[in-house]
Amino acid sequence: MAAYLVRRLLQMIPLVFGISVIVFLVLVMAPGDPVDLLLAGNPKVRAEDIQALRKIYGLDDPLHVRYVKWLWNALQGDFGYSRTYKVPVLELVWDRVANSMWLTLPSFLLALAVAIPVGVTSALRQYSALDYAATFFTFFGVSIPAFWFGIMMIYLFAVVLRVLPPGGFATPGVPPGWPALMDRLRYVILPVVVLALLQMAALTRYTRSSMLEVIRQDYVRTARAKGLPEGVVIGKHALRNALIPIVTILALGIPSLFAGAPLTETVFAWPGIGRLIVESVGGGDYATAQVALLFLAVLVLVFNLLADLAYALLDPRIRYD
Amino acid sequence: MAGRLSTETNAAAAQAAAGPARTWATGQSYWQLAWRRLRRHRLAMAGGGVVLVLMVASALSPWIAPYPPTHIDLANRMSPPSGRHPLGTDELGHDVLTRLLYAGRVSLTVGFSAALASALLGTVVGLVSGFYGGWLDNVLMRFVDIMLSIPDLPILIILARYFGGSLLGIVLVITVFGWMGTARLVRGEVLQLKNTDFVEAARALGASPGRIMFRHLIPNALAPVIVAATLAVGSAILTEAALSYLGFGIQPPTPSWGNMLQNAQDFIWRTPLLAFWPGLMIFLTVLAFNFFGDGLRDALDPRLRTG
Amino acid sequence: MRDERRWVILALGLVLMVPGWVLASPAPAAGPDTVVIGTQQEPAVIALGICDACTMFVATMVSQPLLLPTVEMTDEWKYQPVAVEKMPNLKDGDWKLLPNNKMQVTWRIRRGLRWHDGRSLTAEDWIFAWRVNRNPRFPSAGRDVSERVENIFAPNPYTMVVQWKRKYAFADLNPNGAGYLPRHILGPAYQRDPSRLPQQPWGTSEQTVGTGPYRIVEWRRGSHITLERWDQFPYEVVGGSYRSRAQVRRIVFRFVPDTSTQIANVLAGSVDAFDETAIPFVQGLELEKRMQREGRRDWALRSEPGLVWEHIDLNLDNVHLRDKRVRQALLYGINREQMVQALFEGKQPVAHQVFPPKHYGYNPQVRRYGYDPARARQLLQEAGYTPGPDGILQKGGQRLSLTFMTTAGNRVREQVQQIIQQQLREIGVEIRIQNQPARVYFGQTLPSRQFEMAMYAWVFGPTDDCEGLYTADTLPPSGQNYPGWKHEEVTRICHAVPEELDRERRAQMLRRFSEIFVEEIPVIPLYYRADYTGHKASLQNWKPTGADVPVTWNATQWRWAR
Repeated sequence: MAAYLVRRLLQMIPLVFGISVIVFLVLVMAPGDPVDLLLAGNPKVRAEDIQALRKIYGLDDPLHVRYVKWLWNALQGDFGYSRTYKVPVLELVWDRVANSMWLTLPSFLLALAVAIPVGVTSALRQYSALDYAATFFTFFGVSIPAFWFGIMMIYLFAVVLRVLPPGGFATPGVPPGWPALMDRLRYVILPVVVLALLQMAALTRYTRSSMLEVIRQDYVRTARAKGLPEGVVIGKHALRNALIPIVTILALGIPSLFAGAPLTETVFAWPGIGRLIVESVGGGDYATAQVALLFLAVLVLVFNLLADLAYALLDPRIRYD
Repeated sequence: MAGRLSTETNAAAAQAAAGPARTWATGQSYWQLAWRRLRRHRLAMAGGGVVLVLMVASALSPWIAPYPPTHIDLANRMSPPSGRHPLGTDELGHDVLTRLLYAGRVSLTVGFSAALASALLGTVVGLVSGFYGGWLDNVLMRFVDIMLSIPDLPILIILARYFGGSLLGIVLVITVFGWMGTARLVRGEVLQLKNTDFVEAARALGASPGRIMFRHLIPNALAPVIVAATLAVGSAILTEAALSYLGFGIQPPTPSWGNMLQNAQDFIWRTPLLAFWPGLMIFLTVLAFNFFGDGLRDALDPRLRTG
Repeated sequence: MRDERRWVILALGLVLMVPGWVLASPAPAAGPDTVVIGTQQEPAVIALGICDACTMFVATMVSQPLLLPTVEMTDEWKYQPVAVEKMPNLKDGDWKLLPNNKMQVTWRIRRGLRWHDGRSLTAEDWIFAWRVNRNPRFPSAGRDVSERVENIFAPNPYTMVVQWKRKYAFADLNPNGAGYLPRHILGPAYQRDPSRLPQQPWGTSEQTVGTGPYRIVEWRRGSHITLERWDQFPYEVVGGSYRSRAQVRRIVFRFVPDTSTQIANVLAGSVDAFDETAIPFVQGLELEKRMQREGRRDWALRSEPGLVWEHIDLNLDNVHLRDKRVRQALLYGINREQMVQALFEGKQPVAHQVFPPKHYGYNPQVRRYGYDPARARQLLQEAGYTPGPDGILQKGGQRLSLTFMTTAGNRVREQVQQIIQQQLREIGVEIRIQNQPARVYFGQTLPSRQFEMAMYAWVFGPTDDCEGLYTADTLPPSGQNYPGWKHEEVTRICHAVPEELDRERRAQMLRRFSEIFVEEIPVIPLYYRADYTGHKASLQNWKPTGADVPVTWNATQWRWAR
């Protein structure tokens, strides 16, 4: 087990390196010069100033020099400044990740809270009216474009009913502490519901599938045959085993909590990491995009590893060596 | 939920739902059996029916659409539904019904092509990876890990910059992030099948690797791939809509449901119906594909039938 | 089995409880002494002096109440001295012409102006800003004016003498091309590394010490910026709109990136006003109509035709577009009047030349191209084009087919494109629409002139002219003459305008420029854009300028009606 862990960790080093190279190349080689873009529509800019800007931003070095420079600084903990926001990239990214967690964590939990019971029930009564209803409900969520659904929710709850704010992050002037928390909750509700609905379908389907698989296993049949009450059979034998793959899925889903949700964040004017990444990629803010993408990639790798370990711990049939 | 940003674009649903499917048998009777099972799955049949209707309608759009697709009528902008325009007109006086039909062609083409291309690429990678194993497997699977770990939307935006808003470009862009689930799926199947008796037997009889792959592995791994591909159609249509929202989708004057929805956004405060129709079409289509794919999964996996 | 049902009920109950509990808490509302302004984009830097390549408009909007301008422009486009005692002029002798085309301008700074930290605002701050701006190691995109200045010195802390290398027409509006910066705060950082000056806390965070009637108290990244009235502001010594005592206690800028969400904010009343960038014209028009239909009187919306000129650059190196008759035919073949009526209800008027009516260079007498497809066909025939088998004109085997580009995802431009495509098809010209993301379009296609027809907009200031745009020596990469127009007289005029001190003569020169422009049509003028702004009806003195001066210019005059 320990050897396996060490091997996986060692494997991650070249992987992270590879990802950083790919991300760097994809970002930097994309057509369009960020300085030209910044100056678009400003007829007063002098050509020599454009050159000077490129030099100051370090855009006129050859690619490999730029990458090595970035890597060297990054290894020393200096990830540079965001060209758009003029703040250290790490600070910016961390701030945005924290903002996104306000949406992603509750929505994930909400999705789970609905998906697991609904999925289990669906499986137990396959092809019942309840199964159909659950299926319809969960797929309903995933079949609507996120941004569209978001705007409709804003329209309904903020414009027509006027019970929730139409997007945003905080009411200016609310004192910190308890009032600020209460205030924040009001802004959180709509985007959380939207995001939860989007995730619910996948989770419900997954729970249903793995539950279906488990209740056909011999040990469940045996338990039933022994005359154990149905509740005990399901609760003790089936559910526990069905949860194994679900736990894996959870571990794999956690990094996406850090990735934010670009479209939902844009619609709800939420300053999250998803929106930051999309904006920094679009605006040529390489330092920011690079760090944010790399950070997320590393998270995914780590949680992949954790998922594998969790699987091994939960399921005695699986051994790594 | 393979740890992707895709909760917004539905790729996750495809992967998750296709996950645990397995097949054991091959041959005619298997497919006949599956068909019989599928027929009893009411939601799946309804979904399949809707898909079929949409496909036929958009294929026939040049004949059934009341107007040419790029016919502009500035004197008749945003007119309400009427005898001349059953669903009204849009901000340029295009007939909405006509646009919906032609957009259906584009969106369904994007959906099917991207799903097919992803399935092909994924199958090839999964097959090679699982069959040969060793360092090749390691390299390919680590690449899959990398692809899965990079958030898709920002990279899609960069790629869209290379390929522009053409149909082929959009399909390519969606495919780049669409094949990994299938690759893992197929690899898993192949690893399992590799050690079954009939493959061992074939190998013992001196069958070539190509023959083993095409005769024994692919047919047996086909069912989950089909399911995944079906679900991927819906997810590709949603991705196109998301790209349109960010301005990187199919370019006008070619209509797609995504760009129609996007254009209609300017007018949702006055003419909400304009946004309703393409939204409804996307919703219906994705829902139909999901139901169909879901039923297909149940039908193709005999172990899930009893009970 | 019953267990599961209980689970479901419990989960659903929880889901429903949370919103119910939060909804029960009272809704926070902005106080009556606050103005919340909805805007689209968050500025990165709010001080223009260290704004390298940032979005000037947003930065100016936030900074106007915070950092006193030297000279302000009103909504009637009049200039008033604010931080200085008067604007220099030739008559009074504080603007002197010297031999060799040089000039000397003397400015007197008002005494008693202070930074929010108590330091006096002096001539040193203007000189410092000018030094910073000119330093090649400082990232600046705006050196066109500061480079014309040879030297600045301060005989005393409240006087500065600016020596110009050559004549400059607007030396009475802009002392140094760089404004002022707090030397006492930025000095050390500047000494360390000028290239990192924009990364200082000053100008990019709450630590921006200002000089105006408001100070910044909160900057929640990605959400809002809050300004609060600074009660020690010396109203008695300033000029212009800043002389009136500010009534509104707090000004909040709220950043909402999505337009539909912004509109929801307006409809729900969670913003008190929205600025020029918040809601694009078409959605603004829609919003106005909806409010009219609902009979809402709590909001006042208005659109101000501005200085933004929407046009199509024609690549003059193209084999078809090289011919003047083809260019004129294209213009005759586009029904611009019908287009702006249909799409904008005429509120964004057709452009017949470069400068809009409000600009001093506007020429009311230039030739106008109405919609005349017959004339267009005739011109094309004269140019040697004959109809091909598919109805598209051709000449020497080459079909008259042009690619037409613009920024992908810009919906109004896409609509305009489709209309033009259909209309030009009727005169036998094929248009192929090929749009690109803004970054590729502005960052690559335009600078390398890889286009045939390219639609975009120029944003003019009231003092801007044609230099750099249409001078023969400013083709990219040395300038932004993207069409590649090389006209000797135009080049001469456009270079001479900024150095002509007499306003009437300047206007005359620009009128001549317009005459040549409409004859040659190197660019197809489409329409002048208008911006929507709006405010709750009880908010008074909301006065957008329709120019590059954002609506916050007279924030001290805003009032809530009782």
